[in-house]
Amino acid sequence: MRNRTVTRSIILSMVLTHWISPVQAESLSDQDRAEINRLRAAQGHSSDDITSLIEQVNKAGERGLPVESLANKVKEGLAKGIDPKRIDPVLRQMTARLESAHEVLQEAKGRGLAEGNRQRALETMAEAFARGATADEVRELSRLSQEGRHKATQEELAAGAKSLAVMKEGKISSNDGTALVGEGIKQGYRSSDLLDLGREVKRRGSDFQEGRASLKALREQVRRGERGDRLFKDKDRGESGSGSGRGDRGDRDDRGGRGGRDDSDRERVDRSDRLDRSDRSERGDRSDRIERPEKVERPDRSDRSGRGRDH
Amino acid sequence: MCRTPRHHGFVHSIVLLSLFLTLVGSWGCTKSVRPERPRATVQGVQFTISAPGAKVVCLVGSFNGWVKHATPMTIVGGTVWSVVVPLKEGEYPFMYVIDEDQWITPPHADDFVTDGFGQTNGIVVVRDTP
Repeated sequence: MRNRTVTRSIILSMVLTHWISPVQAESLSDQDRAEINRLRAAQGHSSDDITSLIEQVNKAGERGLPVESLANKVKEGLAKGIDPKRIDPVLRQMTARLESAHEVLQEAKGRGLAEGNRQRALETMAEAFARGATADEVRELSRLSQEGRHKATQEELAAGAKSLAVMKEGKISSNDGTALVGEGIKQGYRSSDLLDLGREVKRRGSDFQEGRASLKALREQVRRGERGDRLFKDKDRGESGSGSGRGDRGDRDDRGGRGGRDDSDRERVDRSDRLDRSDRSERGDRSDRIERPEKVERPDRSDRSGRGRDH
Repeated sequence: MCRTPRHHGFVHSIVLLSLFLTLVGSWGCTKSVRPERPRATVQGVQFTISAPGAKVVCLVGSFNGWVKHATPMTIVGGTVWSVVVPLKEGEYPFMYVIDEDQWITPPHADDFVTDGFGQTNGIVVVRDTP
């Protein structure tokens, strides 16, 4: 009888604990710890040098934040020969962004957005903030998402926020980007579609700025329910005939095969890299040039480096 | 041992033909191993980079814990190095390390982001296979 009571108490406490604190505490895995220690030793740092970094990661885990991205950043910094003292503030920033991400996602949850993959949602949203999305923009996306028939998840909201941030890197205005991404969420675009949309718009940033493409028309396509992987197909056809020197890419199915890319797709990427790097004029097309610049290549692109993103 | 003009013409033709074939051959090889954005293959994602004069080239990224020698690349033609890595669906930051200490931002990637330490990582996007 007593045993049964004890068992009931244990089960009840477990249920209550789970209900009160649905966020699971995480800590650095033994494997991550070992890898970090290997990298630390290889760089000639003492254990004390990285104690505060390990503590930060574990504390974030105790607060229910995902530790994987933080552990990865520690490894990346050590591998690149960064002094642990310089890794510390980067880690703090990342943690702060994860906390902000948690807050806005909780807000969204309050509005009825389903959770989805929580860790991915948190990391994606934190990355969106790192790349320049704001909490207000996320709230607006959240509001727009409720106008559609599709019930968006927090993961999709986070992907939308990241997509918007990427578009802004391509010099797309916040209003235009928000409206476009919001339409995508309303139409039930998946997270991967939203992220692709952001990257494609960023790649064509100059086309939109210089009037060769229209964001309004693109939004209309999305509103009509056109699939994400077909949005830029006709544009590519148009480009091929415009003498822009981008090659004949009309016969390709953009992103048609989600697991792979064909040659023409790769060709587009090369082109997009050139667009992305248009401000790296001294480099030109780097595909056929020696890639051995200075000892450590410095980021010099304002459109992709000005956000302090630390994924 | 006098050589006739006809003989000279024959030798010239052979030399020209050899040169032509060599040029066509090298052009074909270069074309087949052009560095490009990481792309999905049956075995995994193929990474390629041109690194003239390099002795060792390694691929590093979040997928291998940024460990330098975890994913060494091999020369596949001319100056182009390549490696195929099986990756699950997701987005991964990566760079190349040439000759142990030169961290290189990928010339081709699906996206680019700063790493917080003053450098730029490439991003490879791996999609789910149908």
